[in-house]
Amino acid sequence: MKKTFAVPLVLLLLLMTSVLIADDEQENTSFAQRRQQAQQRAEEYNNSIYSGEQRASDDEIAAAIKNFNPEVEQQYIQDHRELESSFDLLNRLEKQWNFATFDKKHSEEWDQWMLQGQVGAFAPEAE
Amino acid sequence: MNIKTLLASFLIFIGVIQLSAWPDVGVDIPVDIPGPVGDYLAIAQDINEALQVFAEGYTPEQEYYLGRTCAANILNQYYNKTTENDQLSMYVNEIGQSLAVMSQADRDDLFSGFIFIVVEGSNKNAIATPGGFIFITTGMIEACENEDQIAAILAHEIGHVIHKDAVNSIDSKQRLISLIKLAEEYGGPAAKQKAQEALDKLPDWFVDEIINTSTDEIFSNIVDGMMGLWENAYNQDQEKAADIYAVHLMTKTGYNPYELINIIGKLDEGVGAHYGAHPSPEERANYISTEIATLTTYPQTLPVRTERVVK
Repeated sequence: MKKTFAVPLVLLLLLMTSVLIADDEQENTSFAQRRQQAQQRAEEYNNSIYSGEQRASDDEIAAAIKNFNPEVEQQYIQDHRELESSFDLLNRLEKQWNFATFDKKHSEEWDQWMLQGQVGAFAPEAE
Repeated sequence: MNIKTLLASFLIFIGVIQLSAWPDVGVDIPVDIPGPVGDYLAIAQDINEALQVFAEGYTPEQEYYLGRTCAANILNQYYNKTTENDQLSMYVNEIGQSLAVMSQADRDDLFSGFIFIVVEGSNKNAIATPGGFIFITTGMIEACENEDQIAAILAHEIGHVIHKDAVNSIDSKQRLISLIKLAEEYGGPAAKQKAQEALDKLPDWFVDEIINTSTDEIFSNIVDGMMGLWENAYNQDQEKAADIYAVHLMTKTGYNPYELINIIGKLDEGVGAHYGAHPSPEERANYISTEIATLTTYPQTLPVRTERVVK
């Protein structure tokens, strides 16, 4: 009687384990795909934020920020000397947090959260 | 007082009120109304027709440039200290950029992408300028109970940028003059031709006014106007649209849109808070709930996202 139940029970356990492993693999695959898609979207975003066909280099971005329409901006700063330090601060902040360099700058912690599905865009429940 | 006098008085009253606004006029207006009201309506129509030449509005570069100057003014006038906590700035930018990636489908022409700036301030507030500069105070972040609520604030502000609310709020006369001057002084041949085409639609006295106003003066006027916007607020339709946009952006990005309702009651009133024109928290909660009800599913608030904000 015991043998009669033991064999199917072991087979059932093996089957359940294999199903769970398969589910896990499928979830990992799905998550990897989602992450890849999100990274692709980020790359597309980077490529599209400048009007040129090719993405600008970091130096070009810095130059564009610094030199954009300098005549008007410089005149405006001359007329509003009190803003000079605020423009300097903005230059620094833009260089530090510009999205074009996001891929290189996001923290390892955030990367881990992405891998664990805790970050919005990469969470399993995201559309 | 007879009915004609009453009617004329009413029309003049409306005209005087509207003189400070120069609205976009979307329909043909009969220009044969005599007196100052008729003159006003005629020039409003001329402005509207000339603006059609620049149907695309400011270029992304011009919008960025205006936004950058507004951002410098905001730093100077309201928040003269950004946070020194780089870890916090990193965290807020990471949340913001994950939303920004998802907003790309709605608007992908921002000249320099979004930048999220954490400023020191005990008041609970967030502000967006054209071109993607978004400010959030440390007081606002401290009021958030979880990451989803921080995302809700940022998503609402992203909505204002996506909808170009600030540049669309610029008085139409100022907008036209600036577009003509920018095209004339900094544009290529095609832009210069557009400027001429717009000038041809305007009366001589107005063309003289444009010629005699310097670009710097026009630029300063626009920036001053936009700074006033943050003190006097966007209109309620724009605020509602930003809320609705935030619901969908949060859902797409995997954040719980109900957290928008939970955080809006904590916003401050006062200068720079652009709170005045927001619909009441109850009204906002109602239409946000209605919008969420149209979704087939929406993400839940993950406990880990609460834990890391508390930490």
